[in-house]
Amino acid sequence: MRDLPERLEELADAYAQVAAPPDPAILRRRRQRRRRRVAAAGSLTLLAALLVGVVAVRGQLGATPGPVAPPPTTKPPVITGTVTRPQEGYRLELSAGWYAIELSEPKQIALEHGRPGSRADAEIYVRTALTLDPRLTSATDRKAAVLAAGPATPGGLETETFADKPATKGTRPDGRRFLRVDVNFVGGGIPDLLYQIAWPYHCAPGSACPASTRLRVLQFVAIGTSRETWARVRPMIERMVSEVQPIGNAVDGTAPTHPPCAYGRNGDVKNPHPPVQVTGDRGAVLLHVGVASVRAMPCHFHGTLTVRLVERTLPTTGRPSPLLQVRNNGAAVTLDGDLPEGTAGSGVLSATWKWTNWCGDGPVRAEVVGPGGAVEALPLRTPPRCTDRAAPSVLTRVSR
Amino acid sequence: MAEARQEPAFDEFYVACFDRLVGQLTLVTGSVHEAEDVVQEAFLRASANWARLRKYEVPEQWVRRVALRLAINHLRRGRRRAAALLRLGPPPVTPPASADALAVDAALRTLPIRSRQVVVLYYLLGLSVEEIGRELAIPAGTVKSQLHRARQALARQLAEPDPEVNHRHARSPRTP
Repeated sequence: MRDLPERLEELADAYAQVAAPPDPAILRRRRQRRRRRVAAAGSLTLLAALLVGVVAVRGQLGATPGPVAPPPTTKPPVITGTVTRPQEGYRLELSAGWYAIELSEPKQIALEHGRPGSRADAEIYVRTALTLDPRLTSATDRKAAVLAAGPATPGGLETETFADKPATKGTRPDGRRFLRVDVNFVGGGIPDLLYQIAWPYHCAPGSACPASTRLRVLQFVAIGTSRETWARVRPMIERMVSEVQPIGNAVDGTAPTHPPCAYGRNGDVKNPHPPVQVTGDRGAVLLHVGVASVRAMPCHFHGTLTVRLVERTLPTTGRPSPLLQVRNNGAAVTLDGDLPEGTAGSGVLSATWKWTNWCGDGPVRAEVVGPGGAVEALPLRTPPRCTDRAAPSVLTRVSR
Repeated sequence: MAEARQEPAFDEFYVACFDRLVGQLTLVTGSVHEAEDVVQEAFLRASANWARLRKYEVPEQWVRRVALRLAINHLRRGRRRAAALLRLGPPPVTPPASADALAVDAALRTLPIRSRQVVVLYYLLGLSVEEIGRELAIPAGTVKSQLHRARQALARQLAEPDPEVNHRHARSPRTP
């Protein structure tokens, strides 16, 4: 067994391969945003100074100042009042003193208690997930989902149970079962609880519905900052868990909500397959591309995925790297369909290409360009071996 | 105008180092996306100081150090969130690595965030105990005990009989 530094180095190299390709244009955009922010802050300082002067003058005259516009911000907007999430199938009335913010993690929101901008005294992370917990799902549904997912199904079934953690069961007024699990994720005396509410997804009548859809739960991870504040906010958390409303796909008999899938980083879909496979003799490299909804996130996908084989290290000015001399390089496929829950069976749209006979030099990279120009790197470690220098290197679409 | 003149050289530097730094920082943050964010931010700062940094022998070390600090600050700020998301967040990206390396990856993820940082800084980036103490703002003794506990935990996870073997193989510290 090799030593730890070597293995860490291998891991770092492997993660480097799956990182998004460097794009100087992103840096330029971030730099421009920062300049605008600095300029805006400068303008605000000037405006504030002017207002102070005006207030001072008006104060002397006995008048009151008008409202001042809030400063511009690049932070995600703060949501207060009602949170509506059609894909996850819920609507939530926030208790007083709570606000919601979008997170960079796919389709997860954070609810925070306190004043926006200052340190929250409690946080709740809300998202949907799949569970095999017998306290929330029936044996029939679990069996059907596990059999459907099976070892041969790409992506498998993504689930997590907390059967080993102390938990209390409950039933909401609408009859939905829920679990309150003492997870102790954070430790150090910080109070935290996980709530899971049975939140099965309902497909359109008559449509093929993956078995895993019955295993969906709506999950609240609540974390306090101290036992004192926790005692104060916990009743509010319990109320939200009790009163969050199912809508759309979480309600039996209604048409499921399939909004367009967002593609790319932090989008609604991911490639459910091992993206690259190499044959034993390195005679061919198989490049799998495809989309499946991210966990319990139904959506409709319509878009073109383009496979590009490019040189790996090139000085670039933000333009796409030049294509390798490979026949059919830049081939595209248009995928279209509803993606219900999970990453298995009928919830997958995909295509595969075979790359053979690469006799070129230098490091190469494989990438997929999706809707909106989003680029994802395929973790290509080695190109196919050179079998015939006189013949062209070829990228061929393979039917699944 | 000055920036436009510097741009091509900076872009080359950025393209050449970006992947490598994201790979290293992923082991610290536990998330490729988060690593990309902090590395982008570090390069953004490097671009503002490029006239000075380009004269450095290895400007990549400066960027790595900044990214590392950003990652640590980020984790420190979001400790509770990170703790919860490590358990319940989206599934981690599986890198194309050997079974041995993936086992280390899985074992690393079970460590507390602070231990993971210490392991990566020491074994991958080759920082000395004192340097790690300065980076993480903790005493050197704490770094040593963190390293000891992390080694034991990793050895248990990886079923290695002698955790000190790894210690002896640590690379000599570098000075970024």
